[in-house]
Amino acid sequence: MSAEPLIEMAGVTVQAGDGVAVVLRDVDWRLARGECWAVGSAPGHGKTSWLATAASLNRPGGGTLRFFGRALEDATEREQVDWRRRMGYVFENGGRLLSHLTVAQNVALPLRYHAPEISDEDLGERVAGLLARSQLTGHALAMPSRLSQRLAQRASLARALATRTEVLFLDNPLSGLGPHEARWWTDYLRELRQENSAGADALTIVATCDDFRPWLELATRFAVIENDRLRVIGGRQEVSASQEPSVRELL
Amino acid sequence: MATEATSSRVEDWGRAFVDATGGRFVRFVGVLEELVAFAIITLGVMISKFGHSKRVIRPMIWEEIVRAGIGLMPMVTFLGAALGLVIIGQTVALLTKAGMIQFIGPVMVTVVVREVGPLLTAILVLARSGTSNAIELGTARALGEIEALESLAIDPILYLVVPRVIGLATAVFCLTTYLILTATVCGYLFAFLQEVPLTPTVYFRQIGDALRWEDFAFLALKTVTFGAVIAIVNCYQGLARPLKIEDVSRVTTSAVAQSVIGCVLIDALFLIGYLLI
Repeated sequence: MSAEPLIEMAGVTVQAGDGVAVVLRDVDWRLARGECWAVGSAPGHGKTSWLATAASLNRPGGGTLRFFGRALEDATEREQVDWRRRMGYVFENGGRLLSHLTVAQNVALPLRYHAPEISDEDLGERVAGLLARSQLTGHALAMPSRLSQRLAQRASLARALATRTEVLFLDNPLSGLGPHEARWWTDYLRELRQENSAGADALTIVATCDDFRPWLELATRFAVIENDRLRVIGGRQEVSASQEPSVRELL
Repeated sequence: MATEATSSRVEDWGRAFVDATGGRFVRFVGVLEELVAFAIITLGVMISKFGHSKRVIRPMIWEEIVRAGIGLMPMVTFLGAALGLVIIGQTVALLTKAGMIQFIGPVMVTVVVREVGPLLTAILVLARSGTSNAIELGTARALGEIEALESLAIDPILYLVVPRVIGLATAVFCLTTYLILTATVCGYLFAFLQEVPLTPTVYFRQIGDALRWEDFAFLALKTVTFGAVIAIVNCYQGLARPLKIEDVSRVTTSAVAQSVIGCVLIDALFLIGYLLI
């Protein structure tokens, strides 16, 4: 595991999506390649805003935010686009699929947009492969409005993995899912990490959650958000052994 | 005392009127400023990302042309025929009485080519495609799909706005040309049915003689501008600010009103252009 951070926050102020309300202050956090983070809190404490900031979808209200070694404020638009191409993002509650495209078109979109060199045949194969792994082959031609939240969330994951994703951001992906579906997610994510566990291709995952239990086997690093602050707890052992109320609540 | 009270009330009304009018004017200027900024951003994206992601953008432009243009052809055929019949029907009797039958062609050119054709087509396209664009984009914005596009490193302006601007500009130009041709042919048919002593050769020569080079240039410029304005206003209303799903109907209404005002103002500018040349 490389020690060089992919993403680094130093004294960052996290704002809500409206860019007005401050949600978190003085956030210091480093994401190293190959790590799998679970960041938990009770609902409404700013997990989504923090994750969006970490993925460069929200502008920070202050502090320094660095992606792949480059500060956000110094980066050109082209650089920011390149970062985002290396990151996948799965939104909460249905994954925000584009409602005017079918499931297969949603999954194919980032490839069609960013990779003109891929032939239609290769594109079709890649999309079919992603849909098959997400058990969505039978829903390839369905419109997102026809999908249940469970299936839409899986399609959103397939879309996030369509390009060569290095960092996968998951916004509370297990929220509202039954134990069987939650198990499918953690098994799938574990498989992905095992497939890409070495060197420059190691898949890095950052997930928010309101329950640490499903992540205990998968995540390597844990943090909690409380009182407008993000606090790193440590690895599995530290979390399991912690007696702090904010951690115990998530277990 | 009574005079003073009346005078004070008149002053209050006057102030309230000025406040209301001034407030509306300030809001109008604010919206206009934002629309111009949005149009400049769109133009900037069109130029800086020209040819980018052709595989995605070109089919979307074509889809927009089909939806706004080809899909409207039956309605435009009907309206073109009606327009030809109405104009010829109203003017033939008048011009025959006045012994000025040679002016049928110029009347058709002045009314259909310069004014009614482009404006009527623009309003049709606005009703059919402009509003649906505002609703689609407003809904996409309310459902968070714009953030989803950003997370995929897809430029929302290039993906959502540019195809609509190019598609609607092309559609309005093509449909207006088609409407003018339909109205001209149907106008002659009506004149023929009315037994007006006018051969097709003379009728079309009258129209040809009445047309000047600036008619073609202005027609192209005006229709493309109408299409672009409708697309820009509707996309702006749908995308420019965070929306909730219940706001979509309100922004659609605003988009229609602003598009109509925009088209009429542009029409007035072109009218001045005609007068100056």
